[in-house]
Amino acid sequence: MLKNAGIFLILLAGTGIGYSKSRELTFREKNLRIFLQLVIFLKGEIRCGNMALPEAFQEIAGKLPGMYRDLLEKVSAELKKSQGFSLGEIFYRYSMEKIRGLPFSGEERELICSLGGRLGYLDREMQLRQLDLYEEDVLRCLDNLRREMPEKKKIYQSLGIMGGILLAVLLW
Amino acid sequence: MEASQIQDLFAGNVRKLLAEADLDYEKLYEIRMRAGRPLFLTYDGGECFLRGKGREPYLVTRQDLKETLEYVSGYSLYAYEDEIRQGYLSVQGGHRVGITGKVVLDGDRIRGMKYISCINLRLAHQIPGCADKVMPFIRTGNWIAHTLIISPPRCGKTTLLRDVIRQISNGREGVPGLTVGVVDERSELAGCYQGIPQNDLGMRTDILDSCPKAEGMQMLIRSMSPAVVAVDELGKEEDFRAVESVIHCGCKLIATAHGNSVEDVLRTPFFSKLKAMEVFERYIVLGKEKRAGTVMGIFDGKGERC
Repeated sequence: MLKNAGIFLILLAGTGIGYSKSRELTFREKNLRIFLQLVIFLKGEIRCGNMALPEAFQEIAGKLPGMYRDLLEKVSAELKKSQGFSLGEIFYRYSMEKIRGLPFSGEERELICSLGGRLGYLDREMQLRQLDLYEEDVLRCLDNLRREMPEKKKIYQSLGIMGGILLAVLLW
Repeated sequence: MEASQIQDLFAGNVRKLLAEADLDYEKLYEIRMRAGRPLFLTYDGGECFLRGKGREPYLVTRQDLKETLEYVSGYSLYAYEDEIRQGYLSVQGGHRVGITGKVVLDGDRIRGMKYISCINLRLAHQIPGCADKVMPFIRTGNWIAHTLIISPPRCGKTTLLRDVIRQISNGREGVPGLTVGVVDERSELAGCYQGIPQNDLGMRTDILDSCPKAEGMQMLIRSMSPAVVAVDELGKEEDFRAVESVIHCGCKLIATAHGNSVEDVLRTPFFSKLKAMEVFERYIVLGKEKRAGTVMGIFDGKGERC
């Protein structure tokens, strides 16, 4: 009886691990989509409102959920203090702090943290072009993820189940 | 005036020196940074250097200029593209940051500026009541004179105009306040920061910020029906039509102009046309005899001392 229960739990755990890995992919896709939205909002604030970055971040923070809202509010407050760090450094530090431990890939992590380094150009046209280029990079990342996602999700789920079964058989 | 608000505009090194120096910010008029040169202050009517640890004058570096420009623009130089093209930008508190460097041209048009080599922060000062002595000559009862305030640079004509506007707008004992429309082309009068006036121009004052004077005056007349229109530094050819429309629609005009005397100003083509039309009823000439803002004389429309 106890053995059967143990085997059942191993199967359940294996399946759970598989499904949790597949949910991480969904999380990445959702968060990259929100990040893309952030970039689009930022372009809008610069193009239409000609807003300075601390105010633009503050404005956008109110339109975005959770993690990004917090990030933008912190960056905006830090920029207003102007305490001797460059925009790139400030954005990198806070975004790294925010996404640490989250299941982003290395490339996605670098992309998110590098936004600050692409801002603050001398003329508006150049700034908007930089953001266009950045948006393309985010889109490419998102497309890659979306393309791989169904396949990877299936693999994670099947591997979880199969791993559970394998362990169960070995321990039988 | 908040010291930290001004210090925070500068690069770390300069900020530290400013914090260490025992300054009365009410007496501080300018902070001037030039690459490779000492940091100048225009303070209490004179000039002085900020000194570093070994009491040597602190020499401004290019990095200081770059960092300062980042803070002044809120890390968003693109947002101040148009202002930089004109050579200055306005910051919180109504202060003005002038910049010089290598101008980038696109044909005949100034496209921008690079290799910024000098940054000059001009601190806005409000002196409520500085117009008390001249107000009786500008306004008696319901009558207001078309007035031109004349002075060389840095002699207080903008400060005086600001107080005249405030007093007309708020009214005084027994004199009701009037609606004043201000065209603040260089954000110097109201010192608007993100649309909010940083200087007190009175409770009945409508401000058109960063708007060219000629268009602004006409816009105000059409939309805000002011009793008085106030502008700083009149003198371009295109201002002439706008001035004409102001005086012909029954509004009163209060303006300033660069010059040393009434004759000096009226010699210029722009003002000689206005003189022929006998537009201005009062000329107030300022000088720097004892201190900035000394009234050297008040003249009527014919140029005779009042």
